Amino acid sequence: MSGDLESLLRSEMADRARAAPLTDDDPGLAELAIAGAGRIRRRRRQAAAASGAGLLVLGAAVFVWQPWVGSGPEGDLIASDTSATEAQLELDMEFVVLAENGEYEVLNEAGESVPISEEQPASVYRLADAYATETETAVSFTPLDGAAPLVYEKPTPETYIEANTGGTQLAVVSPTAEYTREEYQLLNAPFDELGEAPAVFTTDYALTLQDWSDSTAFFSGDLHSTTGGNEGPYWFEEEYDWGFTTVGTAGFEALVVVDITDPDFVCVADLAPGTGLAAPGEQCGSIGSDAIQQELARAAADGEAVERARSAVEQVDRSYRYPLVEGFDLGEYEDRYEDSTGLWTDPMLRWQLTGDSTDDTWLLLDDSGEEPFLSELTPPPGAIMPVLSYVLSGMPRHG
Amino acid sequence: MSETKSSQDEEFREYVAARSAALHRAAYLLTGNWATAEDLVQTTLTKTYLAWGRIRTTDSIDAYARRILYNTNASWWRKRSNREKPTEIFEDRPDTSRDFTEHSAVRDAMWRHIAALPKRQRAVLVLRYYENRSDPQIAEVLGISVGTVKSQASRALAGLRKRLGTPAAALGIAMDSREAA
Repeated sequence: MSGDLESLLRSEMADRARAAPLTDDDPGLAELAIAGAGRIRRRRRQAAAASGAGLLVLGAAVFVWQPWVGSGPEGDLIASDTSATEAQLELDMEFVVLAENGEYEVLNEAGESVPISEEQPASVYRLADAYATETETAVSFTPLDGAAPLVYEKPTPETYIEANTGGTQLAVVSPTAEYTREEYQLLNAPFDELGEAPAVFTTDYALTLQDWSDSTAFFSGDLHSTTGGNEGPYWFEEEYDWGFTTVGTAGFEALVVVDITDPDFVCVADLAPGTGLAAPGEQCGSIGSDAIQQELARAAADGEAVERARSAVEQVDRSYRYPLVEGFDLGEYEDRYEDSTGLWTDPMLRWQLTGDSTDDTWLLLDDSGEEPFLSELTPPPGAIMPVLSYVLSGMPRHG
Repeated sequence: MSETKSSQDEEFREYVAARSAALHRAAYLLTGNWATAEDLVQTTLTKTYLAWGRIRTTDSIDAYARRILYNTNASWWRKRSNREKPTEIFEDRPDTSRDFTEHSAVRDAMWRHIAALPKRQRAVLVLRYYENRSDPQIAEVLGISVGTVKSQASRALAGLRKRLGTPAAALGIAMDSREAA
């Protein structure tokens, strides 16, 4: 059915686009854009000149970190300054920096440099005891002390990686050739050797792994089309071959699928670690119901499973937000926030950062405290992006 | 005008000549309205020109322009949401090639549903099913994770499926449907 719908979407979109009335080459478009850009630049110069005095006052207060957003004299939103050091200390933020020797380094929260790559990374993740540096073709694991990295070649160009909360495991995810299923290889900390064969499972492409603990794997997927939101036993694995058996074989005790249309609705599968399913069928219902909580506690033998499931749902919803905090007024910074080539969201959803490596400042939306606030972050020299950390604040940090 | 600026402007004009049609088509699918699509492309090109000095020597000009296109569209909705409703129905244009069969009824129902989707969900669909981008490429354009792309696409498809049933069923054609699990 999915294939039917998808092919219908493809053909209809192509038809609609073809039917759009286009002028093959409209020279006026470029000229209008150039003229419009000129007007914007003039306005920006005038605004900068008008706010020069205010910037001097802000500069005098740079040693007191009281980031805030408030209304300026004209009622416009204004943002305070945040230095890289402050971001490192307050948010444990780390940066990927292009060093003078041409290599890429992590500038960690202690201000120390850890070399990670000679090639420009696409992303750098902080795991429990290593930095995972992702390029188009490989993932390299560099111990936090900067020892020689271990390099893992990606099996396919479409391969991507996901880490679990706490950064104790990394999933290397590769779609099958037909894009109907995805294979997950779970790599364990410590990430200094990959001698042990990774746990592997393969699930339907309609499911997305959100997070996982030692006992439970949390996926998101469409449950509503089948269940209509009605509680009770269902047989997704038996009818749709979603791949739950392989998740059990990989060592998990329980599996939770969170409905993408109603995140309160979940299905729980009881797995037999090492062999597959402990029992046929899945119990579905509200995550707050006694039946589901008991089923999850029984299957996972893990008191945190329900809470972890709720976190997985929240991550799906909030990580898509742009800006991170729904309804947050970016004021005069809105265009800058949206037009930057770089956009990074903290996997733990504490902050969102936008900027370009050539900019003097980046925009930081900090949602780690009681009230979200926007500030202009001055990145360290040579910074090209932040490190995305899966290590929760307050958890033991190595290195 | 300096020679450098003149040369940059010429490169920009060449880029616009080469890519504006593709941007217009994507904008039309995103907005469902030709006039809004034209505004969206013009704004996108203006923003692209503002960044031209730093992106012109990279190989990601088109990725940047697309990102601006999709993000600007999303932000327009946010700015206007207090006083305007999002597009309810895609603009109907005369299409002499299409007869009004049940098939077109299904397609119209599909478009009405797509028009009512959140902007970013619609963006994922356009990138995936019109531009044929892979999920990692969509993630890069929209600045989100691959997992989020998947879940948003899945959410949009689930809604569509719920609304249409199976396309074949909506057409009244018997189909090998799987029983509820």
